[in-house]
Amino acid sequence: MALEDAADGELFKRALAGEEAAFATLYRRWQGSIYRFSLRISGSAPIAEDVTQEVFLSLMDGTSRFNPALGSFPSYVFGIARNHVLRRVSRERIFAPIAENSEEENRGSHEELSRPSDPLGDITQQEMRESLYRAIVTLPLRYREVVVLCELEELKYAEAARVIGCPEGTVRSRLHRARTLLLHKLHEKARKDSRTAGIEPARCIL
Amino acid sequence: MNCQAFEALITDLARDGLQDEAARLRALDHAGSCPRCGAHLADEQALTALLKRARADGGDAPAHVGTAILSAYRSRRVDPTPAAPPQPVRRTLPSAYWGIAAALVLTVIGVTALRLLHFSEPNRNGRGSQATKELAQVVPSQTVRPLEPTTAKAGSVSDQMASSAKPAIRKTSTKRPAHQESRPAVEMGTDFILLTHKSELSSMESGQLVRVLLPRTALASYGLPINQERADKPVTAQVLISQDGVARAIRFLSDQDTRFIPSSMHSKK
Repeated sequence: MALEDAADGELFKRALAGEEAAFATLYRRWQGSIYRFSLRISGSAPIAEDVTQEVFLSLMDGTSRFNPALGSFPSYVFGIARNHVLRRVSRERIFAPIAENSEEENRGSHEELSRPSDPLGDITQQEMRESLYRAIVTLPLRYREVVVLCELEELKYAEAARVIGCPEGTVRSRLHRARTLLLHKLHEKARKDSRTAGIEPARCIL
Repeated sequence: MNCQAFEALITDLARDGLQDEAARLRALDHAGSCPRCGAHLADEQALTALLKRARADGGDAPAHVGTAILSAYRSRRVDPTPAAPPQPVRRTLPSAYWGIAAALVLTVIGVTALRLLHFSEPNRNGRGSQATKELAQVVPSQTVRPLEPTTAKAGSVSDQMASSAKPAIRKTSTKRPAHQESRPAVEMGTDFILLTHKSELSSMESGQLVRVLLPRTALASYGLPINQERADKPVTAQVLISQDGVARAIRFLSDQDTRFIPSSMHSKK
């Protein structure tokens, strides 16, 4: 079987046995996801680089072997990455996420969502992605990580639950809350922008 | 279906993750009849589309990360015996204790020698400070040592850290005994930069200097300039790790001292 087609578990086993090509394939396959995950959680490129290194060094380590019976390979690598990122973020305290019970979070956003105009449609795609990124980075950590894992890295609820170490239902409810917060932040941003520009936002499809 | 039941399903509905076809149809039916829920669903679907488009944003890890990891892998494969896995800092503490013991023995010997000099020399003017200098030369700068009680070198390190609001590039030159001549005699680098609050240093009983390789962008995090010609090359730093495994201070070494130690990213010097 060609290395590119080999399963992650198989590549991991061969890499541990000293097959450099298997390790390189594994790296190519996962470095982007791990880097992006770390970047989105930490908001810092240097931390994301360090964490990417640490994750692959941990994989080489062999002390924490991957066991397919305990979960999928994505859960395994994202779990390692999450531990490293959280350690770095808590040590360096580079974030000031909004308070859990802040006014902003508690304010119901459904009223805004049901308005006839769609402020989201008022900003360009690129601006919207930048706004989305900023909105994700400022989410409280427990919401940020479910958005990154489930929405951006496309993990299933069960896999994300294994990474985070919580029940699947918790992931589901956090994701629901996180999406509501994201929409609220995007609406706020769009409203501020339109106020600055002095134009009334009009609804249009994203 | 009422609005509350719809609200419980909206995330899965917007993400195309609602498996129950009957529930999906009931929810869509409700969204069609309730303007508020209909608008909410439209927003959620728009958010899903936006998140999908954002999946590839952020790019890949920089090439130098891959190069460093591959080098580490190769070196480990060639020589897997010594420090096989990169040990977390906490796990290196037992060896730190040996270092502390060695530093304490050296301190006791040094203090004893000082006292002997102090009491045996009739003309003591200037000789005490000379002896201290000699002691400082004997105590290797990289050994694991307690910060308190203060030895000649530990004191200088903590003072250095405490006074380093804006780190300046400095040059430390240490004369070493002949048997240590194999080590580099001159080391260029910045002062130590505190990573924790100064007050936390007082609770630090012992520490360990570890040499790590960092992306050059880390310099900017500490307000240091980055040489653009070498922007893609990593920079070597020394991190002072306390006995509880927390990094307390960092200093960056100049490139002439930079050498990648692939067998362990946290190898001790």
